[in-house]
Amino acid sequence: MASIFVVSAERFIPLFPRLACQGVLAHFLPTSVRWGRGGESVGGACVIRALWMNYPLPPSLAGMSPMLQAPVTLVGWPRRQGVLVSVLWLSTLDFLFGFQSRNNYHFKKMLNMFSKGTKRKFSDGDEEISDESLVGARVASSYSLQRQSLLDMSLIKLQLCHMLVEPNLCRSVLIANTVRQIQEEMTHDGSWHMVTEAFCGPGQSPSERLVATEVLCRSREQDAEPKLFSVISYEGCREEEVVADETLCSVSVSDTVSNVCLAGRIGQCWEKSELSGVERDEEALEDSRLGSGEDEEIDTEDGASTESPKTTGQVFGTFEIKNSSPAPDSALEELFSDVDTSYYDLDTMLTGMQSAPKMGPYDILDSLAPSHSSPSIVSTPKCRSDLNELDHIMEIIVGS
Amino acid sequence: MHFSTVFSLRVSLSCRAGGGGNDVQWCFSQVKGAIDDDVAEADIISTVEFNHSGELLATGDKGGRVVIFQQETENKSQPQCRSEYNVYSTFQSHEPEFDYLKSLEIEEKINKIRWLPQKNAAQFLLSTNDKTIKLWKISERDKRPEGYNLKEEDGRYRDAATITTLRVPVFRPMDLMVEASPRRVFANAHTYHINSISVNSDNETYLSADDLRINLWHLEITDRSFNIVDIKPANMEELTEVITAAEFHPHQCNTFVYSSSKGTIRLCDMRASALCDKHSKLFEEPEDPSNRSFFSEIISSISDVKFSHNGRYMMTRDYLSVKIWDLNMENRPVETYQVHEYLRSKLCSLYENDCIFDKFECCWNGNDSVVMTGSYNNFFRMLDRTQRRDVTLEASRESCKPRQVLKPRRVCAGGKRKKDEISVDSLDFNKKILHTAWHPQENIIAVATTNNLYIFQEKVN
Repeated sequence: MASIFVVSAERFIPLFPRLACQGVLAHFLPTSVRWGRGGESVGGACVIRALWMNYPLPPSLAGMSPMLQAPVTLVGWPRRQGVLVSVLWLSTLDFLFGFQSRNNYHFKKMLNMFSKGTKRKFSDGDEEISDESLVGARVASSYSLQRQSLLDMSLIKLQLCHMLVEPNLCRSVLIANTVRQIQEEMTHDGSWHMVTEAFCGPGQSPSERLVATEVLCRSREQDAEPKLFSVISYEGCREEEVVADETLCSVSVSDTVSNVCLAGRIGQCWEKSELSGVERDEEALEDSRLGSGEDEEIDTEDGASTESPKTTGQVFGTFEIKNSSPAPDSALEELFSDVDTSYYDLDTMLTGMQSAPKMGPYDILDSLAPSHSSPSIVSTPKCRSDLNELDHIMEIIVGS
Repeated sequence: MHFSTVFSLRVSLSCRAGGGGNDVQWCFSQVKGAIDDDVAEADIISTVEFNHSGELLATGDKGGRVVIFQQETENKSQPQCRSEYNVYSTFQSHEPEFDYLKSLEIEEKINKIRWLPQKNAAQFLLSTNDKTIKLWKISERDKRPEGYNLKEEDGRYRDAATITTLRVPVFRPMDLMVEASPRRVFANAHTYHINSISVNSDNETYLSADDLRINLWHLEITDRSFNIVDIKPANMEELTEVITAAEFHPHQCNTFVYSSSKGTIRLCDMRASALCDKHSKLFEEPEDPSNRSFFSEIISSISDVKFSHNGRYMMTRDYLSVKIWDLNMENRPVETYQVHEYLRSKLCSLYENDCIFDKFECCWNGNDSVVMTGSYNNFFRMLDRTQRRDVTLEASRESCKPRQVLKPRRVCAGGKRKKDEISVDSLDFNKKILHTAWHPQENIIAVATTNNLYIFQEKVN
């Protein structure tokens, strides 16, 4: 029996018994890793849908944000089991959902899954991954996948911090060094460069885009010695915003297992408001309990992928449940019908992220110009008013 | 103190073999702690330490308590001198605290206990949690004064009018009472979590090390400490290395070492400068390129460093191995022992479940011929330096019969599993032995599993 565990942005406490994830409570920060199995973008949405169908939603979740509409990212590897998943983490703007089966939290190595040619069946039989696709992926990029999964895991570890006790600095430093190492290697490989190139407008140099990855674990030190430290710092990128504005989204939605990744940049909207006027990274985040955790969601395409990336719009469009049709949705729609979805409008957030790095806090949402690669994304100005709301929420959280 | 091998007629009459290694057979002596599998978190043992004579054995737990066991006086005329350790004193050393500035709890878990050499009838030990070090005095009281003139025996004051005679109070024996009282509290000197304390051979000072700094204290002075090592970068973004352990040299009061998360050990001489940021010696083994992986740095992080009793060597424990260094040779260790090499292929899983960050300790035997360290599945390893042999033993409830000899265990890394071998995949990674201690003179070891303390002794025929 899976237990659902939710961290509410407002109260920042788990509403359900916490996930026994190495004894830590999940941070609420959005974090995106990659799609796991069932991994096509459409599959992603279906995964969620299927999940909801299989486990009854507690009533209190009914009023939750429409996570289905948000850029939910699959953080963690579903595991092949009789039950749907062993651990499945879904992250939206400010909720992190964990689904856990009886077994312990465990990331399943992607490589194992691939090498066994595992067919993963969801219990309602919706999704199946064909063996052929798995084999193809494996042959092409097992090393980079493994590296990617390690990177993702590390980023999650850095973010999931103990709520009450200071995290272990040694462990954090070691994980951060691992992340740095992976990112350096990816840079040398060119896989980093490839990804970023695809999505940035002309005139932006790599150095401008990739800045420090701030990992904030309880950086509430008032003595201006924040516990946070930058995970990655690239040369010449010590800008104040700590904000890597890239949405490094791999959009190679191929038939094979695609690892679509949505950068968790969403949080930046209101994080920036915290950061405005702050000189340096470290000082900026001291009072942010949530962590203006800039986690750099770096995703790379499968290293050897040669398919031209589809447009952002096409990919992200598939995440919008409101576009998808069939009956199962109606039940879900009911559940979420009363929720204000404007803030979680996927388009808005994503376009916001693709703008230039040095904008001020509110500018980013102003410039919701469609990116060159995603003509279908329409920007809405609604986000802005929600910023104030978020400010308010931030205050509550910080103050609590 | 230098313990040389006692070359006596061994076996039946004497327990003081001093040597070790594989001619030694270890057998079960005692186990302390609750039997049930449901471990209360406060009972998790977090440190184990013998005192300098070996008569006392102190353990600290996650609940902030210290339990001291005392060895029964041996009866040498007995053919089988099975000295047992019994509870001598229990006290609450540290309480949980709350740091209001950071809104963080400060755990009361005892990170380290270090005994002071005994100078008088009382015993002294230092115990530390993440932030505060305390000096405890443990003293015995076995007499009390009786026959006061103004007080009744129960303490009530007598009416002066009823006193007709005077008497001199005398000391009468009473049941032994062991009292522990905090004599000094060394607080507010560490921003980060204290991982080590070490008493200097001068018996006046000690050091305390946290993730980024090492402070030097005087045992008598609680409101000040000197900072002798500071590796905190000006910009915390640049932080890539932390201090993991530190220890004073056993004889040279000016020398100490500290280890880092990058697998380096720095030896510092306090005579060189007040701030010992520049090391006198840097011990680092070049990385083996064939073994390189993303986890190389993590597994090279040193979790414990211990000087040998004779002060010529030091031992470091990283995730997979134990290394013995000669203090005169910096570029590589003189000996390297694999603790559980079969885990090298499992590093990714161990990273997932955080086991890769477990901090194992290690210890020397009395004459520096054997070293011991813990592993998973309640296994611990004895590595004989002189005979170049090693053995894996298990601390489990199954081998708990008195004087039952421990059978060597074997782990099968892959391939066909032989009888009596245990395969890597069936190891229980929740059962880890992080803390072990060796009696300074005898072959008596204390091994801490999650919430039990096992005491093993050398088999005496």
